[in-house]
Parts: sequence; structure tokens; C-alpha cells
Amino acid sequence: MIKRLTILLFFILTVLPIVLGLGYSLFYSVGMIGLMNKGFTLEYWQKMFLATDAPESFAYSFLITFLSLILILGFSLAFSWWQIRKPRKWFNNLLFLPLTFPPLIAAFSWFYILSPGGLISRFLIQTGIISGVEEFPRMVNDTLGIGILSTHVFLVFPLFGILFLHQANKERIPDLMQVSQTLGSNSSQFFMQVYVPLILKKTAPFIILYTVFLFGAFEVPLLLGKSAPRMITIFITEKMSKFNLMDIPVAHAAAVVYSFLVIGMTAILIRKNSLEI
Amino acid sequence: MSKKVLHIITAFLLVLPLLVIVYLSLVYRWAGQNLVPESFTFDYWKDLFTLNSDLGSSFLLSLFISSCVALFSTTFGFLISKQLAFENKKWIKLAYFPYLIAPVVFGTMLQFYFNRFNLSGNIGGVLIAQLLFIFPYSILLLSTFWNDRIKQMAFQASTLGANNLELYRKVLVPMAKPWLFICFVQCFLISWYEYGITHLIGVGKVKTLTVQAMLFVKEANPFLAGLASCLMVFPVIILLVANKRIFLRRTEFL
Amino acid sequence: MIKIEGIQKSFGGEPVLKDVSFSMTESGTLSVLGKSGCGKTTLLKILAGLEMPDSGKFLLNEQNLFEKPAQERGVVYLSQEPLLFPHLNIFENIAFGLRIRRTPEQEVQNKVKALSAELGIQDHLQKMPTQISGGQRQRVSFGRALIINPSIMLLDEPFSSLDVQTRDEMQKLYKSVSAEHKITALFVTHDLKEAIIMGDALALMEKGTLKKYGSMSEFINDPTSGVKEAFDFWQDVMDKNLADKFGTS
Repeated sequence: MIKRLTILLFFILTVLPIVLGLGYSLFYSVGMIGLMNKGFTLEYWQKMFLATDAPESFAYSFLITFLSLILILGFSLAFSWWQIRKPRKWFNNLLFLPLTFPPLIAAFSWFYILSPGGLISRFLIQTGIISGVEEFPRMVNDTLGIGILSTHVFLVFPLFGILFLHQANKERIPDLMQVSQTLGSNSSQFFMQVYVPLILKKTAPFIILYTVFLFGAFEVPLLLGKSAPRMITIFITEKMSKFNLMDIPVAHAAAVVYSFLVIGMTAILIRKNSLEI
Repeated sequence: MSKKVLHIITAFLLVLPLLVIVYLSLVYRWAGQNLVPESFTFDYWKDLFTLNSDLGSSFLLSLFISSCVALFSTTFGFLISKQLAFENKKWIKLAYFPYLIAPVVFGTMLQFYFNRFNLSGNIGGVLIAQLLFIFPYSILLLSTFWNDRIKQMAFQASTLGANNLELYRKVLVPMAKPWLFICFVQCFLISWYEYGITHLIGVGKVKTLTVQAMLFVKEANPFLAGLASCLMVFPVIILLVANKRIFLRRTEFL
Repeated sequence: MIKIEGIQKSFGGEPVLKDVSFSMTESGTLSVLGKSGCGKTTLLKILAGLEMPDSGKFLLNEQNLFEKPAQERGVVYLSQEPLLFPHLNIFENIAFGLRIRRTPEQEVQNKVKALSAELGIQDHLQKMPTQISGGQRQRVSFGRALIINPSIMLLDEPFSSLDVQTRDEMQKLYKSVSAEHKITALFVTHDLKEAIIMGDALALMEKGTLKKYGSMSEFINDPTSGVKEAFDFWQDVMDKNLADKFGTS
């Protein structure tokens, strides 16, 4: 009896909300419920794909996720490698600092570092390198997403660095390196042929997990993104809260698409399965 | 560029955001394009300790909400993950779905129900909203505690005469203490950091620290936003210095 | 008198125990010899209360213990690995069952001290489980079970993870302590020699059935027990060895 109740509680707390939420959004998006409902219609789905920036938003989310990931992996692989070859304890300790930052606060700080009225701009003006704000390149609310990318790197690269270092020690990388040296490989060969593939393979589930998180980033693009192109989370929340009632079913349709993308990625993650200690 | 210089620059960039929020919280007036403001002040900090300080009450509210969420998630996560890990292992993975969907989108899809049951704009609603993805996280984290060894140990205790309650009190809880502690802290931090769903379901009325900080940003008051940021980050830094392992845990699982 | 009647158990349609029945006298050790996968661990788990049988009875003085939950049976299961509670020191590990029974402090102190002296671990009482050796851990595990005067002890290859010398010591220790405390025990092992040394009576388990022997000679003469095989092997070695050494044929 208690066993059944426990399982029931688990389903109520985890599966039921997803089913309720997805069901509601799906029905809303095909005009079956909601303030404007007028019976089943695919109008809003068509509208989402053809008459809004939803496709661009999905594409932009993918792009930002991809670029963030490349930068994060690049930095964390390089720094963890250097840490293994020549450990710098002070640096290792500093890597923990960004873990104490909520995304919102990190975004806020980076805004004040990178914006035209921010610290870098002020510094360049004071030192006479540029003569005014107009000359300062746009790095927040910009199309390239420099602000978003910087903040993502700041938030996630240290975590990955620590993870990679941890994994490298677990895989006895220093020992492996000695072995391959006796076999005649130099350190850059070892880095490319052993270190990178080994570490990426071992931490793959973790990387997929953060891909999903980055794809659903909200606070960072909210503060540092542009109104167009925008990330899909911003698209959904903005369409939802706009006063145009015709936008709400479109937002629900986008939420359904987003959810299925996440569920798909999660399924891959679960299949990979090794996501545990 | 030598690696040493590269490390120093990176280290500087890692520390810079912290310096920025502290700096902003101390600035009194900052006109034009000066690098250094005209004057500094401790007034914002002092005001925190006055009775009607917005930030002071936000701090306490965040503390309350995060503690409740963490306590609930850890307690029920422990009990439910045991059942799942020992008897319905494959279902545990279902917990990934609510955990991985962006909370703010999840909230958007469920907002109707929150309105319907009068859970919008009040603390109860925010608690439930945060539990939607923090509770599944605790299930995922704590399910790594239950292994065959623990199962055998539990069995050993019951053949020695321990009933269910004694089993938890004398064996399982003491053995799981490090897990429970880390789970509590992690759940607390996820809640402490949360903005999207809290703002959405709280409709701006439940002013946690993140919501309040965002409000200051929108009002173009970077100084108070900086102070709010310090209030959010400093306690976590103290925690970090006291126990680095909690944060290491994040690299071992999720 | 302990009677096991008609225990059956299947997992997913696969029978693991087929009508296991036997009886044993109190204060004596029954050695059960069996290869891995013969169902011996399942049998012990059922007797201890970790698994429920599909059918069967477990009678102790005419009372069916299957009707009681594990914690009320007084049947203690000792596994291959000495699973000591890692958060408790040696003293508290041994005292565990007494604490559960809310035994007065003085009595706990006395009992633990006396028993630990008997088991040769009196100097380690304040240590934590990770600070002692494998053999010592097994002694603690044994003491932890012994202290609550169990009606039956179930030993599942308790010495198999120990080195040869420690194993010999433990076998001797077990023999003397079990005689001293008049323990009723089921001792499961895959080691022929150990089965013979430890048991007052012998049984063989194979493919989910259990056969109890009336006497040692019955056991030795049964071709399935493997005694004859082992005997022939050593005989053969000795003959060859002698032949090689002395050049006779």
C-alpha cells in the first residue's frame, strides 16, 4: 500500500505536470481551448512557422547553444590540460567562483562590463584609446550575442574545467601520457589523439545535459539579447505576455515544439545512460 | 602570449563580475564616462538593516522559500528514491524530463492551472512552481545513494531486529548524511538562483532576491541591483569556502 | 526442532527452489554444500525474510516464521562481505541489536566487552570499520549477530573473501564459539573441505533441491557430493608423485 502511494506520489510530482502542461499547450495551440477558441484549427501552427520569427528563434537558439558549447569546450579542455601538466592551485580554486553566481547576476555583471556605458568602454575612453561611446563596439544586445556567449562561458567553462580535471585524474591521464611518451608520441599528439577524445567521450552525458540547459537559457538572453533575433525561450514568454490574444496560441505551439525538442534530447541522454557519479 | 599571462587574464575575468557587483553596491554618484565615480557610500548596505528595507525582506523571503523547497525535496526525494531505486529503477529516468525543460517555459505551459487554483502571485504558488523541477532533481541525485550494498546493509539491520523507523533513524539516515546534506544545499541553491518561473508564477508579487534584483535593473538602478547581487552571491561564497566538496559534487553528478 | 517444508520459489517463471524440505536439530551446524547458482543464497534470503517464498513453511517449535516480518524472526543472515555499519564504531556495531532492544547501558557494556574478548577484538572497540582488517571485520559481524542470541544464524560463505590463513583461524574460532553458545546455524559454502569441517550434519544443494545426509559415510559414498572425486584426485597426485620420485612403476 505504502509502496503504491510512493510511486503514485512520484508520478504526480514529476510526470503529471508535464502531461498537464503539454496537453494544455497542445489543445490551446490548435484552438480547442483558451479565450479565442473556435474549434480545431491549424491556423496558429501555420502562423507560427510562416508569419512569426519562431523559426528564426529556434535557429538562433541552436546557434547560440552551439557557439557557447564550442567556446566552453575549447576553454575547459585547454585549461584542464594545462592544469594537469602544470597544476596551479590558486587558479583551480578560482574556477569555483563562477559556480556561486546565479545566471541572472552573471548576466547583470557582464552587462556592466561589456555595455557602452560599462567598465571596458569607460576604461578605453579614459585612457584615450577611443574618443567616445560611439566608437565602442556593440557587445550587449547585439546580433552576434557576444554578451550572451561571454556570460555562458563565464558560467559553464569553470564547471567543465573542474569536471575534466576530475575525469582526467580518474582516467590516470598522467600515467597514460608517460606510456605514450615511451611509445614516441609528443604532447600535442597526445592531446589531440588521447586527451580530447577520451575526456569528451567520458563526459558526453554531462555535455548533452548542459546543451539542453544552454538551449533553454532564459535569464542571460533576457538581459543581454536583442529583440530580434531572439532565443526561443524569450520568443515564447514574450508572445505569451503580449496583449494581442492571437499571439497566445502561437506561443503555446512554440512551447510544444520546444518541449518535444527537449524531450528528444533527454531521450538521447537517457539512452547514453551512463549519467551517474 | 605566455601561458602565465593567459592564466592571469582568465583569472581576472573570473573575478571581475564579483568586483563589479561589489563596486556597484558602493557607488554613490557616477556621472558621465568616468571610470571612477565621484563618491562612494555604505548607505545601501546600512539601509539593509533597517526595518522597512525591501532588500532585507527579499533576502528573508528567498531564504524561506529556498529552505522550504530544499527541505521538502530532500525529505521526500530520499523516501521516494529508495522505493524507486530498489523496485522500479527504470522509472527514475522520467525525472529528467521536468528537470531539463526550461522552468520558465514549463511555467508558461502550466500557468493556466496556477491561475485556476489561485496559486498565482502568492508564496504557495511559487513553492509549488519551484518544486516542479527541483524535486525531480533531488530524486535523480539521491537515487545514486541507493546501491546493492546499502540494500544489504538495510537488510542486515532488519534481521538484527530493527523495524522500519529504526532502520531509517539508526542506519539509513546516518549513512546517507553526506548525500542528504549535498542534496539539501544543491536544491537550496537552484531555488536561490531561480528567476524565470518565480517571476512568472509570482507575477512579480513574490519578491525574492532575484525578482527584486531584476526590478532594480529595469528601474535602471544598478547600485541597488549590485547590492542585491552581493546578497545573493556572498552567502554562497562563504559556503564554498567552508565546504568545497558540495560544489565538486556538481561535477560528479549533473 | 526446526522444520523447513516444501519451499518453492520462481523468478520470472524460472524455478530457483523446487520443494526444499529438511529438518535440523537445535544447537548444531548444518553445512550446505553447493555450487554458485544452485539456489543456496535464495534459500537463505527466504529464511531470513528478505524474499518471500511462493509456498512452504519454516517451522520453529511449531510456529511458522514466514508469518513474521524479518525483524521479529530472530534469524540473522551473515553475508560473504562483513557489512558493518560504516557510521558506527566497532563497539556500536556489535551493540546494534541490543540498542534496538533498548537494553540497559550497563548490560550492553558488559555483553559487548565479554563477547569481543571471546572473539579477540577487544582492543579495537573504539575503531571505525575501515580501520580494521578483513578477518577482524568478519569477527565483528559475527559478534553483532551472536549478541542478540538468534534462534538461527544463516552464514552465506562468510569466509570466502578471506586469505587462507585467516580463513583457518576463523573456522576454528567459529567452531569453538558456536559450541560454547550452542548456536543453531545453516552454513552455506561451495568448499567441500569447509563444509566437512564446519558441519555437524551435511546437505547438498543442486539445481534448486536440497538433500540432507543421515551420516558422514552416506555423504562420502554419494557420487554427487564430489568427495570421491576429490579423494581420487589426491590419490592420483600422490601415486604419480611417488612414482616420479622413486622411479618405480
